[in-house]
Amino acid sequence: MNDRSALPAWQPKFSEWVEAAKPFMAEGKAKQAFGIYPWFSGNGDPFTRLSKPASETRFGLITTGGYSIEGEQEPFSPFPSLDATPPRINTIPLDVDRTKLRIDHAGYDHRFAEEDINCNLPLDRLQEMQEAGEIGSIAPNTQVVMGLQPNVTPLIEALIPELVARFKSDSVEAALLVPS
Amino acid sequence: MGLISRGLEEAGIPSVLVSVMKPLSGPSRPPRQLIRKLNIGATVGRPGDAATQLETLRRMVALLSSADGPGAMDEGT
Repeated sequence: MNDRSALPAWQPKFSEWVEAAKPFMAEGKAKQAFGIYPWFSGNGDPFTRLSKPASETRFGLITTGGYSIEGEQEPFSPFPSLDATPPRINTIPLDVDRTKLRIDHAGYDHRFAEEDINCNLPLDRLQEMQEAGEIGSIAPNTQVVMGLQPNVTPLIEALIPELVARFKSDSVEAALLVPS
Repeated sequence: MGLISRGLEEAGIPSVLVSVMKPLSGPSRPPRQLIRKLNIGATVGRPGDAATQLETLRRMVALLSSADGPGAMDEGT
């Protein structure tokens, strides 16, 4: 049992919701639209134990901060998509030129992160923890995705497998998830 | 984020989520979550507040190590 197996039962409810939510969305009434949203409920409760001490573990970070590298990556669309397009993932290297980072996200006030990136992309703090021996290492890349994705079908079928593949490619052994 | 967390666990990667909005993060049943009374947009800690940012991360790491089953939660503050 997994979340993919719960999709067929959920998809008709989502299609009905899209139709019902359109008038609200057109008027910018997101609160009313999501008030009737059919929350997805997955099958089972997956769980994997951390198999070794944190001080020997390689950690990977995922943030929904809406970050992209100016001139190298396409900026995120600040608003959620309802269609089945696979959501994009932007990869931010640890040694990124931070002056090139931009934020595109309509769901939060960017001022905190613009003042101190560690508010939702805590690379400096993680490096300090690594230097102190509290964690083993940090993956060379952070994965950035958009939050609030109403259509979970492309999320489950495309985005999550791609995140898993990128983490495995970076030998990530445990994941830290930081929403905005 | 809850669904991503579940997908990672299913693929064998343990994960932990920090949430400042439990009513939004809870329904998807993430395997481990740390609930913090912090701001949207500063879910690790406020600008320049390295102590709070470190506390959030240390508690996430601690929960990763200590959780003994799905639905583990640290709701301290």
